[in-house]
Amino acid sequence: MRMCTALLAGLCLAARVAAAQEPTPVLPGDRDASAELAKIIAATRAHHLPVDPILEKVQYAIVMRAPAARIVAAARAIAARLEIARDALAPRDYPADVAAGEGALSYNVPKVVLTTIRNASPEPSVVVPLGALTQLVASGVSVTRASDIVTSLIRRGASGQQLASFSNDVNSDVRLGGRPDDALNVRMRGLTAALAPAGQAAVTQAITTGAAAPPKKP
Amino acid sequence: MSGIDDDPLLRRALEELRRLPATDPEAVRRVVGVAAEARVSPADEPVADRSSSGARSMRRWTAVSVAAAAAIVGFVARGVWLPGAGPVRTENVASPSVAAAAPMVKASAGGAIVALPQQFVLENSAAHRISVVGDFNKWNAASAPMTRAAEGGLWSTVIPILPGRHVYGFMIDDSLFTLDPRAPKARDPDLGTDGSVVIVGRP
Amino acid sequence: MISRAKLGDIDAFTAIVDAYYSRCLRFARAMLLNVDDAEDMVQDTFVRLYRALPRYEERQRFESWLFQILGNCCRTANTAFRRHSAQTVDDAFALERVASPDVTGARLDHEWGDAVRKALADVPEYNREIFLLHYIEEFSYDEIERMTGVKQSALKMRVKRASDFLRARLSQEHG
Repeated sequence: MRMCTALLAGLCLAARVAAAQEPTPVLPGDRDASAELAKIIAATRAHHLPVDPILEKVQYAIVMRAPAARIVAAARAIAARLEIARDALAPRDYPADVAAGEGALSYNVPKVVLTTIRNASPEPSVVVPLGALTQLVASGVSVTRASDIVTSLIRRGASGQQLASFSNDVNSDVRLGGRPDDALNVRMRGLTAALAPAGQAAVTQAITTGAAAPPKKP
Repeated sequence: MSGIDDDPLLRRALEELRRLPATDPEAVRRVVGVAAEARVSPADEPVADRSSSGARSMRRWTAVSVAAAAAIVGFVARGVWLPGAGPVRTENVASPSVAAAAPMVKASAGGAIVALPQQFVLENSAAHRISVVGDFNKWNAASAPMTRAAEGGLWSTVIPILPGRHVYGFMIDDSLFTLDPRAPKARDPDLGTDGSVVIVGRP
Repeated sequence: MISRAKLGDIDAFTAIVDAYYSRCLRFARAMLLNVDDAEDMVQDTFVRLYRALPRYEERQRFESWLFQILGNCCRTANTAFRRHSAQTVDDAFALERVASPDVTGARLDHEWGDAVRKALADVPEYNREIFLLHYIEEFSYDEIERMTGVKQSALKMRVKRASDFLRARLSQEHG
């Protein structure tokens, strides 16, 4: 028992050391840019914001051989967006949600939409609605239409898997030559059929008016 | 190589193109130095060295286990990851080669979020090694190697991934990044690069 | 030599780099849109190769494995270069991107050499790579098929297109 306690204490100590020494990525062959990057990451951490979105983007950029200056600019932009996302999603500013909010902001989704989705969602986490929204916008759907539809869907109880499939289907339609907003309407009809009857009217309303339906009172 | 041999103009062009640049010994030394420094990961160490005793590998694995345990405790301490809780969904997954097989959940004030297995498939008959790289594994090619089907060029793997939107691609032979032809793609607004996208959502 | 390098023998690896460095540099210079990246690309290739050596299966010829990795690196670098540089490639740059090899003491016919390299630089990448592998690095179509996964009929078509392009361009200027 004593040995187990000692081992656990040792592991906790090692873990704290590991946590304190999260690796800062080094940009090959560019010391100044690496130093700048380290500063951005340290400042983000000091503001108690998640740094994973920055680290992931840097690793991605290195794989894609992006120039160092562009990587630093991206890191700076992400840090700024993380702060806005946290503000929009407060008080439930879980790191994964803040990261998903940052992703949506990077595609010019307005801050207020993040708050709307947070307030509309019955789930504690909004990573999937925000991810679906981001992908819809990345597929070419207008920000307003995508925001209205996703908000409407989560109010009506669409599951995470339904939102993910919906977003993937719209993307496939667009890749095959469909107009983004047409693809959105077509796929919405399919999803409407799968949702509970209580949601049908509101979703249909969202399609026809192009606006999110208000939440239905129980 | 017919077609060129009977064409004096192309023959002359080939002679020009075949000229070798001089080998700079300094460049060779630099390359060897960088390569030696880069080959430090245990995963990349020579596997054919059977001369050393089992004790060394035991020591290595013990160290790895302790480090892994420490990392897990570290994640828990930071409220990020918890290992092994909750089931991992496996339906609709054919002949999976499961990378990073341990199920994971994400702990947050909002409750536990279970990682869901996602299958990745790529056709490539010439590759020797293919990995899935993405934000879910910090773009690390060693993290999710794919397995080639017994016949043909179909590669696949299954990775548990947390819900949300994830950007990824395939790394072929540790040197060529390519997108997933079966998946949605998106242009990264910061870098201008394309990535494949998977959105993982709970049923 | 390869077997020793697989076990991590740094001297054996040095001998491999020494033996193949100039061929790799020649190939990279002809393949890359940005010739300044050629030395970095060769270094990157050998680093990746050294890390992957334990997994190397000796049933594949070492040379074709090396050029497979180098070709991948060059293609990835070209994709990145295209993406990150908006400027158009003018003639002067096209010349620069396949700079002359620095053959010490050799008196090159600069005009002819530059014309050849400029013409080659304008051959589409997917045809140029196969042309270089076949005619300059002297890999058989069998080997290139195994390296690239592209069927031999398509490989021969690409080489023919590259040859036709070079012939037409050089005939126009030097015929």
